[in-house]
Amino acid sequence: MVSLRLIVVFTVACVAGRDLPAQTDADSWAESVVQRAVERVTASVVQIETVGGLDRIEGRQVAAGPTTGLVVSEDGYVVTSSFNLSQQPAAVFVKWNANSRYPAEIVARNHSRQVVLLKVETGRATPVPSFLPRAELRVGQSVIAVGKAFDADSPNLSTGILSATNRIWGKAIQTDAKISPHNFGGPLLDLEGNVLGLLVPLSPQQSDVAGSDWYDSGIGFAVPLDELRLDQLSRGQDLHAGLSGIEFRQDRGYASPAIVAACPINSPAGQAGLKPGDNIIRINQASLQRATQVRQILGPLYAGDEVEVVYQRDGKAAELKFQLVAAMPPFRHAMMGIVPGVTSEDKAGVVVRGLIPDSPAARADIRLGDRVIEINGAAVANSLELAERMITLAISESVTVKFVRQDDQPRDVTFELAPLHAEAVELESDETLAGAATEVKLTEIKIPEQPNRCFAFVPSQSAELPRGALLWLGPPGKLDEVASGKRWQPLCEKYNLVVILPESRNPTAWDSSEADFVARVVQQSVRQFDVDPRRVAVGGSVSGGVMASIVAMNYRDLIRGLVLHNSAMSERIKDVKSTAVDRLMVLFVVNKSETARDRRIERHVQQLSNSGFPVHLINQPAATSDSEIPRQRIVHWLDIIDRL
Amino acid sequence: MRFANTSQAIYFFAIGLASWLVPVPPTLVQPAVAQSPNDIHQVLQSVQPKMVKIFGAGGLNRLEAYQTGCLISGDGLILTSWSYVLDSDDVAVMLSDGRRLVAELVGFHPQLEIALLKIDVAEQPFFDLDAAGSANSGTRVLVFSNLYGIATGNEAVSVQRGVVAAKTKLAARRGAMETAYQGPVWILDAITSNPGSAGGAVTDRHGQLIGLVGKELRSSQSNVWLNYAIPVSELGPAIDEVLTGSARSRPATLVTPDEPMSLELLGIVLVPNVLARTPPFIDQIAPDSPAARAGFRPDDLIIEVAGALTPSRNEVTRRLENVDRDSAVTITVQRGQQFIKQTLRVN
Repeated sequence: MVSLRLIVVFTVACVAGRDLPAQTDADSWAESVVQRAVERVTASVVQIETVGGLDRIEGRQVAAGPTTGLVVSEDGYVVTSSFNLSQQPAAVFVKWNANSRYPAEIVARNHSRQVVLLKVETGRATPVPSFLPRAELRVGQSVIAVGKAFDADSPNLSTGILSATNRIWGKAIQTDAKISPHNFGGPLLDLEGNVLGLLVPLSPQQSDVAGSDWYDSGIGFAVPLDELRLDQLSRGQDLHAGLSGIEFRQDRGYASPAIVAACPINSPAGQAGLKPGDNIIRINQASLQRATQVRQILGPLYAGDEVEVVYQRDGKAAELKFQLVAAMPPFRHAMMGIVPGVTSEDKAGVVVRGLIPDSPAARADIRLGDRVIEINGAAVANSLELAERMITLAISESVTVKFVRQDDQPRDVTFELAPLHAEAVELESDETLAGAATEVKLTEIKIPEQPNRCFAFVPSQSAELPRGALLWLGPPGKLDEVASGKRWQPLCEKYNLVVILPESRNPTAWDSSEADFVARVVQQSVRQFDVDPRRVAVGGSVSGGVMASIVAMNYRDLIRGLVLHNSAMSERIKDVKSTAVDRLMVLFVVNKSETARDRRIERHVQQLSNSGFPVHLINQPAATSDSEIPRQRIVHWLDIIDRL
Repeated sequence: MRFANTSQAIYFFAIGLASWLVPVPPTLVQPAVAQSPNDIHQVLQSVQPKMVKIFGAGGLNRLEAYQTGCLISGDGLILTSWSYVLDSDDVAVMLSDGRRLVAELVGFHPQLEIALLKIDVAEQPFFDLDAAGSANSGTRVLVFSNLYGIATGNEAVSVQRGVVAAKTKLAARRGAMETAYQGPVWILDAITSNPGSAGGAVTDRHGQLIGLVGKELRSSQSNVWLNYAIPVSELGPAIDEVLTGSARSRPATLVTPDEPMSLELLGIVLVPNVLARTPPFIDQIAPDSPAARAGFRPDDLIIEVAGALTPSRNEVTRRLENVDRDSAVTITVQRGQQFIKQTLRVN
């Protein structure tokens, strides 16, 4: 068959090219090499069909057409991308050619690599391709992506090169061949027909369909077969990505050192004795310096895997071992109940600008204007240090706080920490040290290469109130900056708040692809207007709220508060969890409408609370119009968002 | 770097702009390129004079007012896609040398959605459809089109290189509608589905025409944009039909019988239709019915009717509507891990 095909190609080339230069020997050779490589795996690439199931997943239409799978054993085990079965079909079939359909059973799922193992009884040995381990791959080598989405008898192909051998935190290899639903679940081959990996849509977010938006983009992923743990899957054992519970500070990006910022006591690493402040220097025999290296080493590992960590504490190296887990309880922040003021340059410590009523700090007789200088015997120079200390402490843990009142001698109080997510806190304005009236300026923010206009209302800096920022996404379309300014200005003055109002690119809708633009606006504003990064929130009304939820959940290191006015979250947000380092609070403001929207919002309130986020809800009377935004209450919620 | 002429400057500019576009203006014969003999260059030069840019209706609601066409006779017959761009009294064609001519619509083919235009020229280079090339999955191809209207004036249309990804039958939709043409197409491993590309030429590496770039379409099977071309073998007969005036809208290939088959006649009650893709599980079988005689049982899953997979309950109903009630119909069910295929007849 191979030689016959070659003859055909050769003949065509001769006849067609008779009056043109014999230029293309290299092309002709390349063609036949590609065709031969595909030929080698044709019998191992199968078509997958489904019956029944959902037609929409996470707000996207999913098609029901045939997809692709790859045989991995002679006794009928087949792997495919979980994207292909994301509609949860009632039945799955596997076809080697147009006339041979077999029922398939789902044996197990590898959630880390988005792969499903199927079993088919064919009564004969199924041909298995040859596989290459990752160690033998070279970036730049020619590759072929193969699928059977169009025709069970003959595979479809796309050619390209291997772009990277280590992607998505070590889980995947990358190619510039066109990867799409036409070949998800099929193999990525080298020119000899060896399988380098299984084509899957992957993205740093975990979901069956995440990453599928990037089809045919020049960025495609494949997961090496020898890392799928097929033996475990074939025993019916589902596999999950392994979690350790170690968190790092993200503020220095990829350069962040591997110093543990938080490590909850109920996490595997916490139970093994790892503590905030420990400097990780080696994991599983691999030496490292930066936090990203920890993610790269742990990324490909599975729940149940043993991890050996060497770390330094107080200048001494020590070693500990623990087992990664599939799921961890969300991190719930603990709270003393103080709202920190502006750090003073001549006096170390944290000035108490506000007090949460009935909080541990308030009950322990800490008062407005007091200065906290130590916690559990360790000095705190400013509110950033105190915040870093707080994420290492658990709810109900007893702490001793040293504080100074005016020029008295320092005093110690001891109390138990309360949960941050306690019932909605209503704080009267006279319970904080309010700032003086200031002047507000209108500024236009320009982001390079972005056509969107964007305005900011910036008050002059206050000596008492740390500066906050609220980026508000109104209805899509043109913005009347003067009218909007009038509504926000009094609040900007009173709360030392920068209000940022961007316009959507499309006059009729916010597009989720603008999330990056919005995040860049926030980033630039924080820098340009000297905003306290722990007082930054995004919010929006209706469709603007959906957009705000995408920004907040995808840029967790940037955003501390999310305000949703008459809006549910985007349906694409799945599996978000509260963490120690990227603290995020959510406020829903709802005009009761008794519609499907209300039910979705209710579901999201529940879901976010269960995931450990402090969630507050303001219910407005049913008659309130959508355009009436309770700005005062929203800004007040934001004013105490940095409480500790 | 100094440029010999404007089009050369544009050439380098365009290469810098996007590496997947390779616009090669026909006037670019000298210095840099000619010194290192490059044969693909000769092929491009032989093809470019056969390509035209077409301008017509559009320009509103983000609809482009341009597309691409291929000369298929020396006296100015042009093959292109049938689209709203041609829906104008004032369709202009620009030849590769920059001449702009008024085009007359000769006719169109409603199934293939192709059209023929005529311009008044003589001895123009053209694609000879009788000497057309052929392709297989894996064949390297060149694609010529004025994608995004990048080429203007006498600039040659953009060239992309790709590979034939597969040969298949088109199952696509435009919006919610299935497309009229359901015949064979080449799926291309190159991003050819772009505004303005329709009517472009797909050639083999020798410059022989093997297909016409189709209009922008989404696959109804995978819901993603398709990069495809209609093969020359399909185009030839269709062009003849247009020229002889016999191209007509034909009724859909499936003629619904006056008295179609139904689940009720077969004695099958399926589970209630609650989802867009409710799996067609059998809920009840009427006693002494054709289904009962075939041995079908409640909880069997219907997976095939009359030779076609039935991914949903709606699909089962739709398939039966195409079967006459007096004919036999084969139905396959899945029971556990077993397939049972039976031929059912009402009388």
